Amino acid sequence: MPHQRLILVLPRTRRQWGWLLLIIAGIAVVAKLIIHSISIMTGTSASTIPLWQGMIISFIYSSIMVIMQLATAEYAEYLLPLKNKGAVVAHVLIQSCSAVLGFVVAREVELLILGTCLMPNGMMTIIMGVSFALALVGNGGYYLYCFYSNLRIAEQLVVESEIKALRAQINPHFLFNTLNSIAALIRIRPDEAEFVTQQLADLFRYSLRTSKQPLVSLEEEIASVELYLSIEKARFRERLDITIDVQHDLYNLAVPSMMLQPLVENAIKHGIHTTEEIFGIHVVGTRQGNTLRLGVYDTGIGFDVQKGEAYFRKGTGLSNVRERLQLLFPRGSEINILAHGVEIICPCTELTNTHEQYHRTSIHVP
Amino acid sequence: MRCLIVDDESLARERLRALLRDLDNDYLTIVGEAESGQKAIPMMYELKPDVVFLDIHMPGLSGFEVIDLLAPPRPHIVFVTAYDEYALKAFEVHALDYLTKPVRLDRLERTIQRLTHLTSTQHDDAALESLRTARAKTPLTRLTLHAGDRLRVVNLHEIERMESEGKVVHVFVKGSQFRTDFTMDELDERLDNTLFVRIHRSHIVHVEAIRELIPWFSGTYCVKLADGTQLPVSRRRVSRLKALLGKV
Repeated sequence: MPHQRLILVLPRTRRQWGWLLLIIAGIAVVAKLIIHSISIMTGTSASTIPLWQGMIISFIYSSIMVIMQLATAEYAEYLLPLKNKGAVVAHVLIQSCSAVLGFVVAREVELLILGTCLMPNGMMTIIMGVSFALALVGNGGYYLYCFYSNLRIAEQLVVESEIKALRAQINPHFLFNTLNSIAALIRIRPDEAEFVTQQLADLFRYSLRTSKQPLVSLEEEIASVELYLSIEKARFRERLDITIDVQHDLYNLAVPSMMLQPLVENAIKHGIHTTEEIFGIHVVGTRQGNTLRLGVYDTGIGFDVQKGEAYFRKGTGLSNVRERLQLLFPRGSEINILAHGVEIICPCTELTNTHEQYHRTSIHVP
Repeated sequence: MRCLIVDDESLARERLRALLRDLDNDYLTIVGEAESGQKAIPMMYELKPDVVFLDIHMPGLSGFEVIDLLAPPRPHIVFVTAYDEYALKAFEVHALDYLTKPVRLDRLERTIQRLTHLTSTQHDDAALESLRTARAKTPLTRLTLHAGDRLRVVNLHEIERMESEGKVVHVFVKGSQFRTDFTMDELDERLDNTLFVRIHRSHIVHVEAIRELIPWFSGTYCVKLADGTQLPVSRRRVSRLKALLGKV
């Protein structure tokens, strides 16, 4: 999943460290010049020391404070990812404290090197207060910006996955071809026309309902595949031979919605014309420990396993299934192309009761 | 008017046949039905239909690919489509007729009337030609060859090489040679150039058929094929051939 990294982190490469040191040097010069002019205006002792010495001290302060800001930002993100507004407040407070703490540490370092502190105490307190305020305002703005950017990206991802889910629904070709078949059947086999119309309606209802519902029970998925196949059966008649082998105790497992149907559709689309004989489709579901294995096999020409990735070209039914599988089960799911079918592996998760009440509606397959 | 119906679904063919029958037009005869593009092309050649009802979305060879391989004289083409109107519109060939599924009787009647009134000079060949031109950048997936007085559709991987002799182009398939209606330049343009390479004005070779590249005199080369045939390589085509073989 694409994730844009916006949070402050310590440099990772030598090149990044180089840039950071340059930035720190810049900050040090600006800070020193500001403090120097303030000192001259107020006539305090800081103006009496040589400028170059002041620059070095300023550099020490800047580097300790900036590096501490980056380090605490990274650690804070690790402890408390920027996912809600509470985290934003926490980050900003941590960063502000880190600024003050950095200042104190830098002061100790200065004492250690020079044996004394160049800056009068009054000036020190003012600068400390200013750093705290600057860190508060700066980090506040920065973190709010990050938070809203992340929010926008997340929203975009949700919208995209919804679109993908919608795209995985009934293929318009299938819809219009089925309507055409029904028109043909009305003349020659009216009973069958009636049956196919009902099946198409049920399949469409399922597809609409699950378009906003990423996970369904395996039972519902199997039922929808049966609906789909019963419609194809009206078109291909005895040329199509279907077997579905899924143990009933797997029926309550959660699977992505409209996942099997594209696989079956794919098998028919590419397979049925490659054989003059009866075209067999075999849907199998098995459980091995904590993984669910679903396979759609056929007796057609099959896949060229060597080509592997080529079958997942963008926009194809297979690539769509894989993308949704990865979105829903980032860990422990895979889709494999075999010589005579496609296998999906995903972790076994039961649909919870609340899910079930919401998800389960009846599909009748005669 | 002789009609040919091409659709991969038997129910769709059945419906179109029933509708044509319903038109109750004595001039209409259905001369045949094909369940795939591969079967349709030889049938068009042999049966010489006046009009072909051609489904666009078919496995193997699509309706558009059938158009790519159509040899003159071309019949009138009426596309029949479930959901490919957008593809026709993309080519901006408004002049071409198409029916959407489920096909309506009155719509079919209009089409037949239009075709009946077209005289031979008004043949909608121009529209078909503009579709073919629009598809010029899409690589061919099959080729049509003359085998005796029949027309054969072959897969590209069966082809070893092509050679022109005057205006006639011969295609070599598993040791036998057949004539094709495509010109050398058309083949050069329409074949996937990672699979087929033009090595000479009159030679196109399947990359995998090449066994050796042998230096000839004064900077020219010749290629030796799997079956031992040696063919000359034009000087200006050497670098392209080397680049292609380097990758293989």
